[in-house]
Amino acid sequence: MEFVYEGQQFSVKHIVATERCSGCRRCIRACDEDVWRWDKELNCAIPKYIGECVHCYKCEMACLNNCIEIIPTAMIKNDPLLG
Amino acid sequence: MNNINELGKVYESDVLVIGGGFAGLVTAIKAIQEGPDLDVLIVEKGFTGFSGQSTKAGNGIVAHLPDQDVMESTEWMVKNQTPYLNDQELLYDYLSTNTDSVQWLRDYAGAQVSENPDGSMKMWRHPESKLAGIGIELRTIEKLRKTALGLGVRMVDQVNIFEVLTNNGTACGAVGFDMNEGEFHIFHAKAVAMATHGCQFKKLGREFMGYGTGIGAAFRAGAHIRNIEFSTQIEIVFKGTNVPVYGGYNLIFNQEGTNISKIYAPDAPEISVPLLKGMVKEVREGRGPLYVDLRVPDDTLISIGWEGMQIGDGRLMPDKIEWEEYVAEKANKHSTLEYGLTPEITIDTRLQAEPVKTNHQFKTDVEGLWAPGKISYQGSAYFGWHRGDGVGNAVQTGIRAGKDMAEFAMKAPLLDIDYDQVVKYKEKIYAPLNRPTNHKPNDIFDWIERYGFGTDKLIVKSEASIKEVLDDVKEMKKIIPELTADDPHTLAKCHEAADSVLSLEMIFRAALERKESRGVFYPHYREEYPEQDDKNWLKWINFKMGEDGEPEMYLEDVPLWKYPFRPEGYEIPEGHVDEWNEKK
Amino acid sequence: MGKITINVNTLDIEVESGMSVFEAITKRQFPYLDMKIPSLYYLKGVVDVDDSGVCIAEVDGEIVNASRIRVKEGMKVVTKSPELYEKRRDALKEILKIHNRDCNGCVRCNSCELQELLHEYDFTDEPQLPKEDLEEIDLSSKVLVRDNNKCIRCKRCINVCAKMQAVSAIACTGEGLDAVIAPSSPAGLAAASCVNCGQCVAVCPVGALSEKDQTDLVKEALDDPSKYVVVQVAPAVRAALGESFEFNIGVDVEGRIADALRNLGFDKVFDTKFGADLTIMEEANELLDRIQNDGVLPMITSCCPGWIKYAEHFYPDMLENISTCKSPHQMQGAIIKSYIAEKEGIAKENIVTVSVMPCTAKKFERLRDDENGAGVPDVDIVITTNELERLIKDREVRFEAMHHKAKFDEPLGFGTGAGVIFGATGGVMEAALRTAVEKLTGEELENPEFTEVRGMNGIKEASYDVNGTTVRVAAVSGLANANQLLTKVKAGEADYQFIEIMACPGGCVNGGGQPHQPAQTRLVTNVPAERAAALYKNDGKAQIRKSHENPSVQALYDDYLGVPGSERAHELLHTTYRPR
Repeated sequence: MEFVYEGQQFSVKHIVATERCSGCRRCIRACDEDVWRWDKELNCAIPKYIGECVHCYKCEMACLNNCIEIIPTAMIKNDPLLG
Repeated sequence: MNNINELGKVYESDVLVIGGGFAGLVTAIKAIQEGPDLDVLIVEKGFTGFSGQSTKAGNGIVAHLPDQDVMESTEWMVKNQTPYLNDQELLYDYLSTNTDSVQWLRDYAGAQVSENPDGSMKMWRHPESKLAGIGIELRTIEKLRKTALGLGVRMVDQVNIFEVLTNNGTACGAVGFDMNEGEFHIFHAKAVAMATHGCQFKKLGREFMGYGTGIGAAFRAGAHIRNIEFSTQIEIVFKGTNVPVYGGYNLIFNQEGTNISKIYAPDAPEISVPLLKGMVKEVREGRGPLYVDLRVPDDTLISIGWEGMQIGDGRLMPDKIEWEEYVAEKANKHSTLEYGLTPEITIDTRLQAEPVKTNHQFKTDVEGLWAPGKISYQGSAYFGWHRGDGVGNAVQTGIRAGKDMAEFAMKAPLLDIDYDQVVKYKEKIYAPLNRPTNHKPNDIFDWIERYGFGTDKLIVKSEASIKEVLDDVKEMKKIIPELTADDPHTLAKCHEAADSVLSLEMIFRAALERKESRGVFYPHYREEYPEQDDKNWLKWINFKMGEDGEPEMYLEDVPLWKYPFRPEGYEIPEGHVDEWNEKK
Repeated sequence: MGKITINVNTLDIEVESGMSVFEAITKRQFPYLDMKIPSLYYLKGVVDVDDSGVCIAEVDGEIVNASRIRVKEGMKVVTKSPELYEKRRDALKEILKIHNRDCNGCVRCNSCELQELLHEYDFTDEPQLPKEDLEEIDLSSKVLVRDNNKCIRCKRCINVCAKMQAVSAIACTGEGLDAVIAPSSPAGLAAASCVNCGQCVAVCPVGALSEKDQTDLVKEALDDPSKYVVVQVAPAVRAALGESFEFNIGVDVEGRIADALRNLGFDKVFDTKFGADLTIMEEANELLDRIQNDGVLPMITSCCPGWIKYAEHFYPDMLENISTCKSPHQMQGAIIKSYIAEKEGIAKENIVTVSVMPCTAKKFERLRDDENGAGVPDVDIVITTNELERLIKDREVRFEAMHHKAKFDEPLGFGTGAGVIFGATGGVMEAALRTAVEKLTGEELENPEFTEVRGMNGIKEASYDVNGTTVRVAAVSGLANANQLLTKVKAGEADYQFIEIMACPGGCVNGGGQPHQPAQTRLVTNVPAERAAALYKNDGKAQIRKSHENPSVQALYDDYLGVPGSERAHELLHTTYRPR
């Protein structure tokens, strides 16, 4: 499943292989921004609040079954030096 | 009979530590070591031992070396960081014991520090500040958690705290809710520590610091705020990836091939405002984009001023290296810019308010309430940080606060909770839930994020730009009571937004007041007053909550008559004697 | 074991000699410098040569099996390189052809040694095995579950069952990844004289072997308002449950367990430490009776159901040596269904007794004949330490928030230091000696510690001169060691009065139901020893350290049982055995 956030300064995409989720919940524990939550219906963890993501990749590194791929699609849309 | 158990789930303890990050864990461990019969409880909005800034940035301690003279190090700090605004007594005390942080962590967390192959500790010396850096594992906090659990510390995870409870002005607990189900939680204790980090403003900087709710709760309980105008941090980053360069400040070039660092900041080993202003000028006059030239011998490349620092040298522990390499790989893979040895750069501004005022034991002005860790980095006024000493700060403040709290809790009674106060706070906390309005917390966060699209609001401030922000604050304060949420996550964000606006207001009111420029690291800079004014501004700017609930400013002279290091031309003010020299 | 210098990843380091390259480097522990060599099959003393294909390193320029080569002075070792990475990945790919990757819901998710490696080696594209190729899960045993679809052919189970337990209930035909690993009887594990010790479960790196999960039964009982649900916890559980919540190894979480069980909703929360003291009362009495009245000697302990079943299969002619005492939790269950039922005025049919044990064999023990002293089963449900972890997590009880000094309920919640050391090999012996010696001499023991029977050695012997009587004892753990000792006894080559036998090496702290620790942790840390140390520390701090001084036990005898060995005591607290 793909999850996308388009922000005014940066954008990010999470590609999550939900069918391979082992239920370890390490992503939920690793995230400091409360992005991840357990979805009872899908029976897997999803980045429910992807808008909070600060693309630190802790969840991607922690995922036991390597289900998460985070793509920083845009990083600095507004260059402060240009003002 | 009013029973608070009907209002929510109640947890009682002797000591309550809000925040299960590095500082919170050290505080809890020290408290239970001092008082083994004390019931010590940590409440954390994430997962104690797995959350907080140290899990990404906690890879070092920057300590004064035992073979150096503490007075010399103190002097360097006083003159070169946020000059002369230090509580020099606390700074000296901090520097004298900071090396002990390493041993403390080895003893009580089995912490692994950077080592030479023969097992001796491996340190890097900063040539000027006379400090040394030691690498420590990012995973050290997990070991601290194990130590704490083994000693009997209790931990409640995934509960977010928003208010401190008081009984006649003395702290006696805290309230918040569970982040999954939203259940109201009430904590009742004799001594409370707010170890929740400062206010980093969502999206301005991304290092898992706090979002201001701890500052807000402490403020509303009666804690004072100090030095909040020194909250700006500037980072030079790779354009297109936003990853900090952590070096090369002396090697910034424009498109004409001129080294502009040499022009605007010839002596600065750090990012300074003059250099930044120069960068802005170059770009806006069409000589951008700027780049860092890495095609130079290593000894010309200044990184954060550490002698002999190489990645492969074991400066960093493997878990930090693994993370940095991961981030860099991701950034490179998804950036459209060519890199090579002349990567384009820009800047990233972070606002980091860490302003809760404390005494030397990291206790606030509120009886029964302490503030260890980054939350009081500026407020305690030791101003002794150097890049990379977050863990050192956590250990030193945690040890002092933990000991003080234990002593207090062993004698103090458990004060009653004010039922009405809990009812009032519970209403306030849940008020945004399902409000039939249109405003979301992101409205506030996006607004603040836009300040980082330029440099005039956050770095190169002027009376005009400050007043613009303060006008915005007035508008934001109208939006706050209109924020709505439909789940615990967003509900928490509403309160983070409100408390971010509180910190924002205080930063800019203090910035307006301080008509000078001061500070290298976390600089306060005024375009109209670009020089340091030691005649008029050897003062601390403070806030406390007024009768109307709004921040009330008051100024204090920095008591340099008590301290050894003073600027040239300093005169002891009337009504005071030269206590420092008379002591000798 | 001397020290030698080798070069690893270009750095000269000192390591112990006399072991494989893999062991030497792993034991040296360099978290700072990342010199890890992965392993999958290796488990010290069980599988010493790891043929999985991941345990490889470059030694003096050649890629070799690091667990097969002895470390030598001046060796040049490289533990990570692109080539090693690819080769290890290839080995894991082969293993995935036979391992059904069904992590979500697998009992070993988060403690699986294969899962950690697949994570480290960046596996992202492994499907589960096709459903048609899947074998049926072996549910024939009342205690253990065998899912052959997860077996990775490490052979740890075979080795432990044959070499450490001398049972050989699991056997292997064929080699490598094509090997067929199955019970040695075609009718399944139960028919293969499996003694239920669960060591196979303890050593399995994946979810191929596990205990039968009976947490649903516990939840049913807890949720049924008509049931009075009483729980008790074995000593060894408190020395290990913390590990399930990522505490350090060897932390005593006794208080937190009591608090957690209360939070789960049990009507009464008792401690099997009490039952252990009760066992000592009966067993010391029985021993002294046999010594003083020419009874059958040596007397052998009976609290280990793995040993009991082993004896029934392999030593049927020594069954009368075994004490007739039930094990502590069975005794305690019988007392709950009689004494407590009467005291609380609750019909024994409405009481559900749950035992939390480090042991898988106890799931079988409660089903034996003569384990129903009050006319109903002494124990209705046995769950292991691992099952308790799942129950706590499933019911969302915050274990880390529990009070570490919480107490158990009375009157079956107080146990002495003698009771708590039951969980360590030699503990039952020492507890019995504290009571027996005092009874024999009539004098108070100055020092209640009998350190000669402590420690992780498989066979420990000691001899005590008690008022002119020589009492020779032995404490054994691991059934192969028991086999060795009993062979000598039968041959008349050894003369003991009292023998303690524990099926699990190290004692109950190393039971089949205890939390798993990966092989590399077990190489660096003596996990059973650390857990046992927690129990001895608990004993050291205890106010009362001798079973016969337990006031709750004394009250039980005064109120209800009379004296040790009385008729009522026999009815409720003693059992029988039969050859199998």
